[in-house]
Amino acid sequence: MAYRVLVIGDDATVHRAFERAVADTGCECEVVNAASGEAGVEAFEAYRPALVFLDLSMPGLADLDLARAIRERDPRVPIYVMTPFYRESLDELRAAAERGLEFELMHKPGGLDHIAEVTRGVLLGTVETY
Amino acid sequence: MSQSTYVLILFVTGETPTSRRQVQQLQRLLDDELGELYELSVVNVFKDPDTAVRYDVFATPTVVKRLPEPVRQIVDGLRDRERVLSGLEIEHAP
Repeated sequence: MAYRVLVIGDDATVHRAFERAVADTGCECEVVNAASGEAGVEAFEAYRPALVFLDLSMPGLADLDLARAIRERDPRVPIYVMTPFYRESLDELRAAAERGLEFELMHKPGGLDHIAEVTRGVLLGTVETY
Repeated sequence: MSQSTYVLILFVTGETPTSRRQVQQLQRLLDDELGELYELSVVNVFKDPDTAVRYDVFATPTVVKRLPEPVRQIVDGLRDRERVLSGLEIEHAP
């Protein structure tokens, strides 16, 4: 089964890293890149990805508004917010989670192996086997 | 604590319906496979990011098996029993 992975962020280096890392997972995946919040929402509606990575600090829609916009369109799709694991970076995210916004965290910066491991975990570990 | 007791940590994002489901999924698996031979603690990365960094956790949800050694960790995919058992090197308790 082919999956689409949507990467939303304004850093082309990050996009290339995801393309390389996802190719290494062995998953049948296509990476879709979007460089702004608005483009990210458009890409989400057009491609309906199985997994979304959101790189914080982009132009356009405020970061968490973008996560909310995606969540409104699909309450179940895994959204990984990429952020440093520092209290200062996490405070706003924690407040959003406490208000009901559901997402997961991925440490930023992360290596190709981290991207691949998350992608494998989400896409290959979604079958209920017990 | 006996040598056969597994010590695990589940790192989650907040206290949400999803994180609660992740805890339940893992507990169910561990109950089935290990009975009472495990200790599971849950770390909310929002409240305790330092512990996540200390264990080299780079995403949520992550399960770290601390004991018995070797230390192993897996990211997500908690619904896939075989993946969890093999990734953490957990053997069914007799």
